[in-house]
Amino acid sequence: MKNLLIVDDSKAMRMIIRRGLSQSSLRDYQTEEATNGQEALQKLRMRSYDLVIADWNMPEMSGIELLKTIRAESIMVRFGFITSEGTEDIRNLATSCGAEFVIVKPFTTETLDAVLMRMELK
Amino acid sequence: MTSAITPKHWLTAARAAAQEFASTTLGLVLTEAVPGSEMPEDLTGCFVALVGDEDSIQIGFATNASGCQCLAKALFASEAELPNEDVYDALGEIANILAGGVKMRLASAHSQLAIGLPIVMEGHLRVTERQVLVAEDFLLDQVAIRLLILCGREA
Repeated sequence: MKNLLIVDDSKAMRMIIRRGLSQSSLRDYQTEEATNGQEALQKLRMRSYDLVIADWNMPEMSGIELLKTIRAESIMVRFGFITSEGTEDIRNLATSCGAEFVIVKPFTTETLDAVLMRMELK
Repeated sequence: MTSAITPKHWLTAARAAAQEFASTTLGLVLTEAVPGSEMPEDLTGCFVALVGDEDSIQIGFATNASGCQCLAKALFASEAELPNEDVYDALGEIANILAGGVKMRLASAHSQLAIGLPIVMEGHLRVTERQVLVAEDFLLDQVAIRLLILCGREA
């Protein structure tokens, strides 16, 4: 069973990501949700996850701040962004901090599925 | 810094971002509103700021109350009426995606833009003498939508 943590301040986007996962070829997984980086960090300190899918811009703690913090605390988890931030600078920053993917909104289920397949998360 | 980008450029980028969002996320087509069709004056909508080193602009959209419900239902894939909290959340996410799309499309001309958090607005939009508001009306399926760009007059 894979454990995924979806981090986005928008309830609508968290639902869209859940829907995308359910329509992907990923099987045998469960999701938890957090509404910002700080909330996600609390969860990550409490238990292990296989993948964090985070937004970039969020109140209290952004996605990139979350990624930097979990790396600084040596929390071992794979990490990717689903964000409206799609510029090259953002992609480079995300990658340099250890993100494995940056999916730009709006996205299709096919895009999400292709990323999950590439990660061999199944 | 944004002086090279006119309000019309921002609007063109916003239109392209809205078309991409409509087709990719909602599976709908964004079409130009029929000339002469009027939007009601009291609108609900949402703005997101794109903030640069020297100035900023607001990118947003507005529609009427039933239009907001339709957009939110489409985003949540819900047939039931949604509470205001969920409607505003959906409006914010749409505005956020539009702002991201605009930022990406104009990154070559303005690379240092930061995306702000969404602000929902209701009613009349008052523009000061120092601001310029450009707008364009569309239909998203049956929902009349007004795309809005609010920027400083010098932009």
